[in-house]
Amino acid sequence: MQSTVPGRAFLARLVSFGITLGMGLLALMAALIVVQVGARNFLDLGLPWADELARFAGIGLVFLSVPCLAGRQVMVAVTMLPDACGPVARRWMILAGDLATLVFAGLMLWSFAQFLPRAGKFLTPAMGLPNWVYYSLALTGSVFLCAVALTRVADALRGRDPSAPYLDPRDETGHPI
Amino acid sequence: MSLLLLILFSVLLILGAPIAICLGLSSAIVIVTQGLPVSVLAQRSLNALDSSPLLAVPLFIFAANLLNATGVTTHMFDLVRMMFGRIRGAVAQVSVFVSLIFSGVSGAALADIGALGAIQINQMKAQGYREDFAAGLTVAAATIGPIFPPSIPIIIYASVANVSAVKLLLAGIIPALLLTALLMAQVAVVARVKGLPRDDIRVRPRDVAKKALISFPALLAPVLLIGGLMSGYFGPTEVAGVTVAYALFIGLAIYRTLTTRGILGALRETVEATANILFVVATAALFAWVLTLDQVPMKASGFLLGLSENPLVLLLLVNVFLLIVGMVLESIAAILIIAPIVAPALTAAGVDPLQLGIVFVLNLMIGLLTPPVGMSLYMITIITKMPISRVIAGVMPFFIPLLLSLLVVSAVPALSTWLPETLMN
Repeated sequence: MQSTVPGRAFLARLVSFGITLGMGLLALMAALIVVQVGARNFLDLGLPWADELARFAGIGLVFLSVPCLAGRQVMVAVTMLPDACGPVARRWMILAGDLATLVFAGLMLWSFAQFLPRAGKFLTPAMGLPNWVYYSLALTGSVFLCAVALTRVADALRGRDPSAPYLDPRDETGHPI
Repeated sequence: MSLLLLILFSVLLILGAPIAICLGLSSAIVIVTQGLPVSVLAQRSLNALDSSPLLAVPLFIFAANLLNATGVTTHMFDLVRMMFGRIRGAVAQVSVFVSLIFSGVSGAALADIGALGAIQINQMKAQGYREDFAAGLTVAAATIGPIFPPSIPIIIYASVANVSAVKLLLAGIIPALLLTALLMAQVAVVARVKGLPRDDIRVRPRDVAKKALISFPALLAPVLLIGGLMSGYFGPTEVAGVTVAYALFIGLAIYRTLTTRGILGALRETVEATANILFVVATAALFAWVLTLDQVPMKASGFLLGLSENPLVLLLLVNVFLLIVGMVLESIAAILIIAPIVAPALTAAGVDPLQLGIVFVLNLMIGLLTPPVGMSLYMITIITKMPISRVIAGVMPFFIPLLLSLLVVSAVPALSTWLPETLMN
């Protein structure tokens, strides 16, 4: 059984890069908060743009990282029932979880299509960024979440291991180490 | 509407779908089927994340991971063990006490387990403790972390319930000390009954002083952070950023053990943990919105106030309710969904908002130890590779001090209110 195909492996690498981007955004966020504290206490300066940029980084960090977590099947879940079931029932439950993720991501994209054309042109208060730029990382993450869930469902239906392209070390029960 | 929401959520949860997806998809299906605007999905979830207090979540986790990468947790453990090693059950007592010290720089129970769990359990196992006892004590002691400042759940609760975050953080100090004392008392009883071992190596005062000097920068962190918060130099979110800067400073300039690989590892672990937690926050906001639309908070308030007008009785009822909620809902999602329902009713009945905040968070932290959604249990099974049933058996005895402290904090408002009122006035 072939565990990975080039398209899936490319998507896995792409969403893994989302984690790397998230690391950069986290470092930026930490630096901005420290700069804000320093500016207020030592220079008597308020930096509302720093707070807004830190929040932008926070939103981006979450939405860019979630697709990779979904792909690796390491999002927080209650797995007592799947763990107690046999391998076949467990595979079906994992597929149900992936289908739920796919439907949710699809509905989020629909929601973005309704929300951004109305709200996208307004500017953020401190940096003056249009909302469509401010929320662009969230939209990008939602697109990738949809793509990841779709490939996982397709892989499962074809009898492949949906987590294989992520090359995570796993224990004997199939859980990521 | 709410019934459909709860049924969909429960079915998805049982099937093992990610908790964030359970919350988000059940809400989304209700929104679509009830003809509500679909744009709410993106709008509400983005609004939930576009919040300054929530920035504390990744920053506190990052600080804890950096300190762990620096190796200070081992120094802390060694120092406390040198000081108290000769009492019976010393390693277990030291585990509880180190959890209290580490909670002064960490804001989450899971971060505490990640940073200290392996050290605590290995040290106990090395002295012949049963593995389930060691695992149970470790997860029970991690409950102290989110009660003692700084604390991620307290900051989130404060933002949701419109309470001063600084006062609420200070309100957690005495309850955290009480919880520590009760856990140590329980360990002392077990040590006497089961004849747990003590260290037989005599430690010279010079060695203790040397270790104390090495640990001093790490031990100073809680003092600096709480002092900065109280003096107004930084706010509750900013304290998280300052903790990161301090952890980097001591790791790079003082201990010189923090490497580029260590920093990158801490960044990666933080990003993965944060995305997991905050995606739950984003979708919990949708769930809470649907409940609000169905007037569940108002109905719940009316129901609660109809049962009793006595603040203590109401608080005890809420305790039972939150303990059940803590079993089936992730703690931050529970704060976002339940706090707007419960807080107005109890405050109206005369319960102090600071006391309510601490009781609320303590309840949910106990919920981290109860299946099926006991995140601390899952975390410790990853560290120890023990089956979850053995971890549950190990943690059962520690529900006595945990529930006792909850009862005392519920019955005595001054434990939560005295310190913030004294210091902030």
